[in-house]
Amino acid sequence: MTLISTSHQLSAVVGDQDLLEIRVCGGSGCVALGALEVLAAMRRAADIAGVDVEIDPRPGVVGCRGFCSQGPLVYLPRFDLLYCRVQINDVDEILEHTLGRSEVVERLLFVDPASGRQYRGLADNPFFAKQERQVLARCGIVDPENIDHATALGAYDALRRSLLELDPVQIIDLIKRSGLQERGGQGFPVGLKWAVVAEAPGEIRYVVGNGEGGDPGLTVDRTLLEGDPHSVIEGIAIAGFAVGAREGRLFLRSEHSLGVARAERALGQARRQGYLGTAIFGTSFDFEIEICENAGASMGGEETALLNVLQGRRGVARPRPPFPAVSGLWGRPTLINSLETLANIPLIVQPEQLGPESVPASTKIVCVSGAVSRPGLVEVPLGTRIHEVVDEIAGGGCDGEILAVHLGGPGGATLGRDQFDTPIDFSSLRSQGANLGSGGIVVLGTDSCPVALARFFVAFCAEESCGTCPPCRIGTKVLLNILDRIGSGEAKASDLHRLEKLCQHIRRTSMCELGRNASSSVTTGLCNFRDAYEAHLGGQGCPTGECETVSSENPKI
Amino acid sequence: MKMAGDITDSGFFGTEGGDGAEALDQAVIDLIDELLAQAGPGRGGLIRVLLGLQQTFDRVSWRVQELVADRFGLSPAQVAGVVSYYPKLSAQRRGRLKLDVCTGSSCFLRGGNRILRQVAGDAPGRTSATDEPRIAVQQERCLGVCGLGPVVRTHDRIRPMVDEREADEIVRSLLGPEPHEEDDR
Repeated sequence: MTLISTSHQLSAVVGDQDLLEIRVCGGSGCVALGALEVLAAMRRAADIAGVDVEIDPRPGVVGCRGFCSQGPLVYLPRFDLLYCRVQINDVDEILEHTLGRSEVVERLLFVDPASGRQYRGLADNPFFAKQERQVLARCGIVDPENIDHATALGAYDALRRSLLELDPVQIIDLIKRSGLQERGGQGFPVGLKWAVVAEAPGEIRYVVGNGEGGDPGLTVDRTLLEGDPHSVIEGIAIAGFAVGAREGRLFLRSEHSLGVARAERALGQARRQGYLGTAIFGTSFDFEIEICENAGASMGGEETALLNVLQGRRGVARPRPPFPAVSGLWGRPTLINSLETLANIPLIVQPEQLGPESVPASTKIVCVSGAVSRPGLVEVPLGTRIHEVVDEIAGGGCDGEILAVHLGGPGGATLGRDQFDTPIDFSSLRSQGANLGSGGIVVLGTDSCPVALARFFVAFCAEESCGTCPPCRIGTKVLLNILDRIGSGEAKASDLHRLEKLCQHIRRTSMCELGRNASSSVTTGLCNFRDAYEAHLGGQGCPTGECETVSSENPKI
Repeated sequence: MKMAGDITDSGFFGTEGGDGAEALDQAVIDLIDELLAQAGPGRGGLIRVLLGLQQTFDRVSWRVQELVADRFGLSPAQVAGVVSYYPKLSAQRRGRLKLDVCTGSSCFLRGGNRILRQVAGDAPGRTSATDEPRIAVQQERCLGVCGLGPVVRTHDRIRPMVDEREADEIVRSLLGPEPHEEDDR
């Protein structure tokens, strides 16, 4: 809600009952493409044109719509017009034609690279049409740096209801009945986890929002923090009330500097408005949230390693049991949920906000990237099929056919075309040997090599391995060696057999999820793309040449 | 931060007893205390303090680590263990000019690794006097802008869809026409 025009001149054109809004996207992607400059130019242009526009003095922007490849995005809700790739010199035209004369600036509309068709707004755009934005409902509409925008659209209503109308047992019961599963990791039932923490002995408990997705291709955490930080904060506060904690931590990646800054600001505003602090809503509930930045160790996303980071130690995994729910931060019962999970909580506690047909906690945010024509971040109902996301929302391959998708990041699985009918939900994916992880979907074109991709993810695990247990520390290095030999064509058929055995061994004996899943990109690759692996054998090397570009000669930094 | 330059220029093992040693130590201790006040008491604030020091001095030298250890009641080895573990912390200087190349899965598929190899392979702009790299090239796991890969970040500006030619330009513009401009940002 950036430029709010109260001008009678403009409102005469558009009717006077409502304010006219221009929403300039302020996500990292659009900012990188120059959104802030566009915003500034808009202010200047409105000034120069002598239009009587009342402009919010702060650089107000809205959160990310996930359509980063087309940024900077400018959306005019009154006309349902989405302008893409807006640059400074387009600003005058938008103000003059669209705001002044209600005309569409055709050349700024989204043109689908696949079909060449032009789309006007959000309703008809195939990228948005199939989505069901519940968790991201406010994202892209409110100014993330202004708490009043968020509260006007229902932020903290669920917290109010929790504190004033419900007791902790009822809340946990609501969560259990919603069937909410952890977004990220293995999809553990959230209500159950909350109950364990709430019943664990001890006076002091903690809630941690885990913003280290541990997936190098994931923008979910960033989008939530940049677009609607209050949904996460509210989720943590409700969780704190339900499990009996008085302190929460927001564990964030320092790479997401814009998200960290907005979360920091949002926390300050929530404190000032009394949604955090002492005696919240006049009750006896006190709650405080503190931001902790990770210093770059992706391993820190693993629950027990995360606890070590928060305690100022090396971020290495701890043996389990004891589980963090019983003995976590400083040995106290600790609830750890991902940011997306926490952002789901307010929707569940406040069911009247949802339409009759929509069930809370029935969506998943996924990030489609790689060789598709419309990459981006989308929220889809659980049960949406992979091909619906890849072909219909993301528009299919950008350079020809799609060979495979890789779901769930480094610990995820590579699936072939014949598996694209699998619904995106926890149990269906598990039956394919995949897991949803935190929702990254990487699409491979036919010019890509599954071996190179597997090597990429194994290299990630090998570098991020904390080194505590030998199967992961040594096993991933050996995996990497074998994959390099396959890539360069030196491997024999017996190496594939060794690879398989080693994968199983690492999976069975590693201590934490990172190690257990480190080999899954190889296992699923071997299963679904065995011919691609075999094509490398016997001195032939990589048919696509991709393996060479990722070999171990890569600079170590 | 006053005297920041002096502190970072102190020897490998710290100030080594020069005349200004105590004053320099005091300046670091003041900064540590300032960071501690923001981070709250206890070891939980250690990483936050270290990140703050890293940002100010572009490294956490052994001497600074000793001072931190002292402030937290830890052994220097414990602090060194933490510093050496995290990619964002380092005991040695990496270069004042930051160039982060994203090699997350999406950027990887679009050639992020080639860009990384190119900019790191050039080992750009070592200063002849100290042989310290002027540009700190860092491999990033994901900058969260997956639709625009490969992306490169210089300081806090993210550059979308970088190709080989553009990477070259970014390096050159970072180094700037005159060496003395390098610390402007």
